[in-house]
Amino acid sequence: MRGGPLLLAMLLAAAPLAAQERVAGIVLDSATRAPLEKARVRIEGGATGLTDRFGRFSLVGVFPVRLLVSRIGARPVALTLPTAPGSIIEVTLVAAPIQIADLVVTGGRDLDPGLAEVGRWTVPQDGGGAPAVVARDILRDLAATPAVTQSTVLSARPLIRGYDAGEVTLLLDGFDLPTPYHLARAFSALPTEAVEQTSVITAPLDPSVGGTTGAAVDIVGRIGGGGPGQRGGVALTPVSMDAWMGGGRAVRGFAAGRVLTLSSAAKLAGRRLPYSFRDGYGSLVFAPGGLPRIRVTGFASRDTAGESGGDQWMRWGTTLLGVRSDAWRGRTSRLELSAHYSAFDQLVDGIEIRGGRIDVRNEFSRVGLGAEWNRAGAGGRVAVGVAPGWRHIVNHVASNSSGVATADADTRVSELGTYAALSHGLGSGRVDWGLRLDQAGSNRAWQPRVRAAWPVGNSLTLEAGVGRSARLFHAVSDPRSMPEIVFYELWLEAGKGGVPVGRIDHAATAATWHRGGVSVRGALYASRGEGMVEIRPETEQGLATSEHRVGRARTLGAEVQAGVNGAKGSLTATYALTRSDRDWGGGWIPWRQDRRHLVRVAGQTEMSGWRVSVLAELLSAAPLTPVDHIADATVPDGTVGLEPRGVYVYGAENSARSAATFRADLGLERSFGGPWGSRGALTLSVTNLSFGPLAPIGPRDAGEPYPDISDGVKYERIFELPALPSFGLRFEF
Amino acid sequence: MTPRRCLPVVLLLLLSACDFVAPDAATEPIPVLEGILVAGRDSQYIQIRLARSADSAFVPYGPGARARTVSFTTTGNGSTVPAVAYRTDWILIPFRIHPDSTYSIQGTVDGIPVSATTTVPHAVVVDDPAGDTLVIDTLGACAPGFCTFPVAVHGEGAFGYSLEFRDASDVLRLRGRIDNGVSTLDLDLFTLRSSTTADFFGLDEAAASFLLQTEPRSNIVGGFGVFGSAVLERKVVRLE
Repeated sequence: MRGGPLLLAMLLAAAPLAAQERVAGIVLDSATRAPLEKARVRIEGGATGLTDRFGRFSLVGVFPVRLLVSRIGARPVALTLPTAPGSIIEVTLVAAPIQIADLVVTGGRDLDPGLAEVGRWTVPQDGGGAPAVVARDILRDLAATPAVTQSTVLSARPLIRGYDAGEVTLLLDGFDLPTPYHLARAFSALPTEAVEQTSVITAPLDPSVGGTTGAAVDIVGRIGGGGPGQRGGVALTPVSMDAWMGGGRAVRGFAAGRVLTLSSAAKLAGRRLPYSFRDGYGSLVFAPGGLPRIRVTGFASRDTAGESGGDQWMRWGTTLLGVRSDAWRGRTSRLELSAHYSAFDQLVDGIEIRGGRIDVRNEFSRVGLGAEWNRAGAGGRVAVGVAPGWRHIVNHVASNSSGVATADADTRVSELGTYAALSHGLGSGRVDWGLRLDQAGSNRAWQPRVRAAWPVGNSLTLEAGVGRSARLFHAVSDPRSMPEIVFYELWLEAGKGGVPVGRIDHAATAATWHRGGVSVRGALYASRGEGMVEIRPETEQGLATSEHRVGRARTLGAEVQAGVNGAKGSLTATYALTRSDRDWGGGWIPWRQDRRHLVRVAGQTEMSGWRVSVLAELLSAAPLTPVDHIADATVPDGTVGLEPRGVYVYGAENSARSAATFRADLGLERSFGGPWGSRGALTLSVTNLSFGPLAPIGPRDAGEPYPDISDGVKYERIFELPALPSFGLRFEF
Repeated sequence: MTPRRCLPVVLLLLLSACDFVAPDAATEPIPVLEGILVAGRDSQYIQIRLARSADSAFVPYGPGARARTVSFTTTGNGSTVPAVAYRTDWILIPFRIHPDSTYSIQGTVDGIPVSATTTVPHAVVVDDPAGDTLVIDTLGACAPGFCTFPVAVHGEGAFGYSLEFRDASDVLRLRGRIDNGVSTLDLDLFTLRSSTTADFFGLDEAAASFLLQTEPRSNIVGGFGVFGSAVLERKVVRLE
């Protein structure tokens, strides 16, 4: 097909040339009867689509058809339909154990009209495959994807293809989720039992995704089932105690809650622990006539550290309430409306850090609306969307320590996101043309995006994409997060105080091949960005007018991931080569998290009724700013009196390299029949089985007023961590 | 060797090939200047040293690396004053500086050019304690070795505040910082009892960024250290 206008006319035409008829349906989980989104539905030899957030699909084809339905974490289903069904059909999928190699290739040679699977890795929460780091965590589980790393094992913040987690947007059921982390960003705030699957989507993104200059993490929450009775469960780990329940028919509800294990145990013993958290997730799906039409998502998290009203304490939390409506469906068109409120608030009183005290009053809140109309047919898709929003940022960070960046801002901004996408066939493949516009105040960012995919033969698929992503404010975290606690962010509005709009242009290409039980995925990517903002690091010792700096970014990388599924188990090997640089006005230097080489091996097997999983990860050295000199700091003012101290005088930023890190984790899981007909699972894990080395290297006592330099500057690992054993006990009924 | 057995060997080889090698410290020295110009004083002092290489041992009160030749000129407020070098680790600038004025220094240390600029704050005003006397309740304010007493200061053009205690011979005995209106000093009562005056300083940005922070920042171009300035208000110390 050629010519956009002609294609559009054909898509919008009422009568196709052949006698194509529609099959519409819903894909459900066989056990819970919950709708499943992102299930792949294909008419053999014909159209392909993915189920939407209501589990619905609609395809047109020439009957009789053979309908193939598949989804990661489920056994595929094939249905033969001799004639077009006169009503919505239900397709149920039975859960199947995930093999780690299943995560290498999640798509197929048949391309959905919106190319939603291009650049996407999906990790189901149920049996994702990676051993738990003390406890399962939805963001740490992304370690199964080659594009994601963390700065150290102490952080759950995803670093994706050479960019900080601040450049990544987190979506929960399609709604922006600000800063959902627990203490020190070591764990995400979402209860694992609330999540059905998590996906990493690398740039260039679908034009419907905004508010990010880099990648997106798409978290899909669970829905209550439509079957008889209710289902639920409880789980216990050293970190948290979880409970969840779901059910219903016309109104399907699901709720999951989590509390910190230690604080709850202390409470029962009549004591009080200085740290606690509570997380809760809930979803309501209104399904009149059995078909979901309205979905409500709610999430709230609250952390408290220290004693309220005491000398040092802090409290923070995230809230999200979103509503999505399947407002109208035609033969091949649909209209979806949405509204949401999200907020992050933080109070910090007098916490001592880096030789001073810090007080924080932070609040980030947003109200957003959304409307998307899309039409998908055999020829392609058209989608148009608009998303107005209102954002309020309060950012008060006050400190008497030079090691803490301060802020004093209170801004209210109206913003508008609009987008359009058109896809059509190109030879055996498909091209998706998209354009997004984000506007806030006088700032505006046009973001063209083009993505394409072509199947080659039966086993190979090629992908390519170029596009721009932009964000009209910056979320900047403390660069000195390791090993100290990270607990505040700065939000800088573009267009104020010399802060520019952040823009990154991305290009990526990938090839995936699978045959039988073997799958291989390779990717190349590059990007160039401007308007990058970062807090000035402590190694930059000159006076400056601002605590943040603005510069450019560039990345270049290659990823290769191969997986083998066999009768006895599964094995995945990943190698990623990444180069990420920044220019803060003095020429290109390595980014502080530029870990050039990643080697990751993960495997699973069954042994004597236990599912055994292992993960080994080797990361090459992070950049290091060396200490060139030691200066005696006394300023005795002409007299003797003060104890002199040695002050590190740093050399060129990131001009040296730290040392590689290595980690091996082991996980064991055994299922068993629990009481009252429940299904139980016992998990045992050991994180850092190899005893590291886990941490990058830095100058000893850096940041201390009197570093131990009696024998010169010494470099050492910034923290040490022993092997961490853990357990989990779960019952589902 | 089967592929399955190759993998751990490859990993071990990669790991061993990534051993850390400490970066070489700089071999060329850099000058370190430390001086705070104080409004109201007849002379200003600046200490000159050479920074040690990072792989050399640091010994407190050690001799340090002494420069061989220094030569400086100070300009500001319409005048140019040559610094007088008593030794190569000290220079004396024999003039009074004034609030709201900008002063620059430039010169060489062992042939290495350095320069810096400072702008003197407007004034420092001590709201608490009012009057000419700082009264410290040694029983109420001082636990053994640690005294805390409230002060309230403000100053136009000041970026930080510090406090110095001097004895009857005008010798500096103690220095502390003033944070959020509270002065916290780690001092012993013997030293405090020997102090007769307390100087409240309003520091310029360079002095505050160097003196009051765990990780000092430098305004010396071509070297490291501080060329800062301050205004002061002096009070008499009385212990009760």
